Amino acid sequence: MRATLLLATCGALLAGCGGGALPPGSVEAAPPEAPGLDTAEGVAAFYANACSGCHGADGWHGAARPLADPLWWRTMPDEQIVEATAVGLGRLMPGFSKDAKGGPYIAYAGLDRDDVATFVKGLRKRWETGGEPAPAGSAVRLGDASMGGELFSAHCASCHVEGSRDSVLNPFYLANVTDQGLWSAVVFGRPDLGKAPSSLSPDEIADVVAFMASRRPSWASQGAVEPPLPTSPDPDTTRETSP
Amino acid sequence: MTDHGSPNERGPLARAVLGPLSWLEDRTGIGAFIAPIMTHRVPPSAKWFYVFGSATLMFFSLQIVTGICLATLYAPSASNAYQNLVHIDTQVPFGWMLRALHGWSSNAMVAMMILHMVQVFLHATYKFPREMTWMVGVLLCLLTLALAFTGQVLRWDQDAYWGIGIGAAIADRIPFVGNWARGLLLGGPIISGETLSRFFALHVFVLPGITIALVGLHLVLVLRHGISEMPKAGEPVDPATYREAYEKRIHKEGVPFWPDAAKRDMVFCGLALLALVAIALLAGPMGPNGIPDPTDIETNPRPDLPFLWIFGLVSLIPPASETAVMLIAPGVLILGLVLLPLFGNAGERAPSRRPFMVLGVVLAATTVGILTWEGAKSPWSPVMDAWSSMPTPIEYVEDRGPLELQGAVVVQNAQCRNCHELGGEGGKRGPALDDVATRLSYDQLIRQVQQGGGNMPAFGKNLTSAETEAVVRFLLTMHPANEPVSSPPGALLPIPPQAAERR
Ligand code: HEC
Ligand code: HEC
Ligand code: HEC
Repeated sequence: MRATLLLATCGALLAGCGGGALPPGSVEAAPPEAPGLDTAEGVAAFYANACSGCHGADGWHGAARPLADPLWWRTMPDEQIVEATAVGLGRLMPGFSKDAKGGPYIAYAGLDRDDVATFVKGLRKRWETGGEPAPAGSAVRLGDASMGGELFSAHCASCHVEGSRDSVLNPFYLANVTDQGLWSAVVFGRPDLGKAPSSLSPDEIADVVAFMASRRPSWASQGAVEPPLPTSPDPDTTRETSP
Repeated sequence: MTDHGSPNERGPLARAVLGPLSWLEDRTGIGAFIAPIMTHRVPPSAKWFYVFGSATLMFFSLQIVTGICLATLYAPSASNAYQNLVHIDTQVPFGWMLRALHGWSSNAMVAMMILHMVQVFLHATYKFPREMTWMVGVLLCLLTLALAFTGQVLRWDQDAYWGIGIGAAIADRIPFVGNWARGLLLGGPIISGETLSRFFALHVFVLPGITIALVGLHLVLVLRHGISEMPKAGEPVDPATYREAYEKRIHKEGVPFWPDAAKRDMVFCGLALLALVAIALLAGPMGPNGIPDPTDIETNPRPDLPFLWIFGLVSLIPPASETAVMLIAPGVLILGLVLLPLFGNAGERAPSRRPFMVLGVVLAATTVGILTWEGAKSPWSPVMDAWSSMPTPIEYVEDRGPLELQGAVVVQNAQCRNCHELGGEGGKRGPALDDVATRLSYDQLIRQVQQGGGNMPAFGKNLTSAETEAVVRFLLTMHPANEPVSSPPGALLPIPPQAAERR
């Protein structure tokens, strides 16, 4: 009797060892079980799982720009948003489709472009509200950098003191951001962080962005070029900011 | 056994067999040596509780046999070890079975050893006159764990890599000689091919040699003092009279070890062996689980079962108490175990009369169990989708400059969050980063991110200098408003020229 008990204990102990034998890779970042990206719940769930980490829980107050900004939605066409979401933007915004390129880590690299488009439509339904689009349009334009420098001193330098932690001319900051990102920051501002959309004209904005881009350090001149990344299936990790 | 009669009185066949045997016996005395061992009297109460020691020995013998076979197939070269194991698994006939047996038998040996120790502890067998037997046993326990640990390293896969990482972190914490101890363990400042050679030598020559010698000593001591009787409440050990009383009782009631007690050992060992073969067949060899790549955090490496609890512990304790928990506590524990019989070698042996000791075992088992579970489950494994699904806490977004905000994005994008908590959310593999600026300076943060350390991968190759700068700027903002920062707040550190030159 006691013997059987002991044997059972030992058996259980040995079987317990089985836990250590699970292939470690078995806990994997599974592609999100999207509960229908054509439903509001599906969109909310995918946003929470894939975007909220950087763009904020409800599309505001994230480390990256707010996606719930109605002005942004009114201005940006779907194609541009789909492109950024599918392929990524710079090194910090990962792509979420099979076409995803570069970035230190590839996100899900699993969605079809059609899924991304459906998702973006859902986001638009959730966040776009009526009103005028921003006058500057949606395409990044780079104007005259020297004009931009003067405009910057006049309109921006008071808040973005050079050399301070608020600087937007910090070479490291500029190395990490794309022209698209700079441009969006000026055109749409960061309403959630107390920065209103710019009141400058579209041409002036083009000049200011050109000025900031011209201050990007030479060692980051190729935009987001990096040595080949181990996790990237594509050895060519160079890429442009936007098509 | 020595008495076979004169060979001349038997038939030719018996003579052909027995002749050489008795010659051998006459010249070596092996039989005369073994006979008393086999027939020495053991208490009749020595029942099924006493089989674990034999089972441990049986698994150890199996380890030696399978280990020797493996040593003929394995080459301790960092660049080839992984392919080597794959080769053994796929090309060598029954190579996978050999590896499976060796790996699982190692776990089984640890399990049997622990059962044996717990039984000896609960029955207070370590009391007079068997103190030395216990002390040698504690050393054997450490050696067994060391063998299991070094063996796991020989797989030279990711699990091994993370395992040594923690080992090195523990060595690093030894005061004064930490750096040297780490160098001794790793064969250099970093985990490299030198490390593998070192662990190979330990696993194949040094540790087994010492273990075999100590097993011999352990057995000699067991024979010298005889097998203890089952404890009875109300019959305390009195060093003055114990030996005499034991001898008397053994003479009257004792049964010969062979076959009376040995048959239980054999039944148990046989069943355990069958179970082992079944497990080896079903579960297959352990690892190798992927080539070690310190920057590959997509996988979920973890150490082998006997060490999971340490890793669970390490991932749970606050950084401030790490030295205490990782270095001092094991030292105290081991010393306590070794010296245990010196502090209480007389008195009651029955567990019913030693409730605190029983409580201690229950507590220890619960703690190790929970920690093992923790090590196997949640905190140890990174939260795989934290980086994209857990928003940076709003208070860490507000009042941050543009570069610092980028740093917050890098924390997400580089998946720091999978291992580190922010605002109570995220992986628990590394320490929470909410007040990291009170602990580390700019330089230390740069070093931690670029070179990793402890159990953290090095990000040097995966992050650009601008991303590194951004993430460190962000981390420098991580301190409670009322607590001082390691580097002066607000004062902008000059952009380090080497950061720019790295490009
Ligand atoms: C009233 C003060 C103020 C003025 C004027 C101002 N900004 Fe900003 N700016 C902010 C605040 C607040 C933020 C958001 C917080 C942060 O990133 O530090 C910000 C953020 C930015 C960002 C970074 C956005 C990001 O997260 O990457 C850029 C780029 C920027 N501003 C450019 C400009 C330019 C160009 C001008 C001049 C046309 C300008 N700002 C004028 C206050 C101002
Ligand atoms: C790891 C952080 C991170 C995650 C997760 C993330 N983003 Fe982004 N996103 C960024 C950053 C940083 C930028 C700005 C990149 C730049 O301009 O340099 C950005 C920019 C964008 C832009 C372009 C904005 C513009 O200025 O035109 C879009 C659109 C976008 N993200 C959508 C998404 C969607 C949709 C998801 C979820 C599927 C998502 N992002 C998930 C970090 C992230
Ligand atoms: C695979 C898990 C993992 C990842 C991913 C990871 N870390 Fe760590 N990190 C750890 C562990 C474990 C430690 C504790 C190291 C030790 O014991 O010395 C640590 C320690 C640290 C420390 C020192 C904290 C202290 O209080 O001493 C900092 C700072 C840090 N990590 C920052 C980062 C940053 C920034 C990233 C992303 C670029 C990151 N970590 C990614 C596991 C990780």
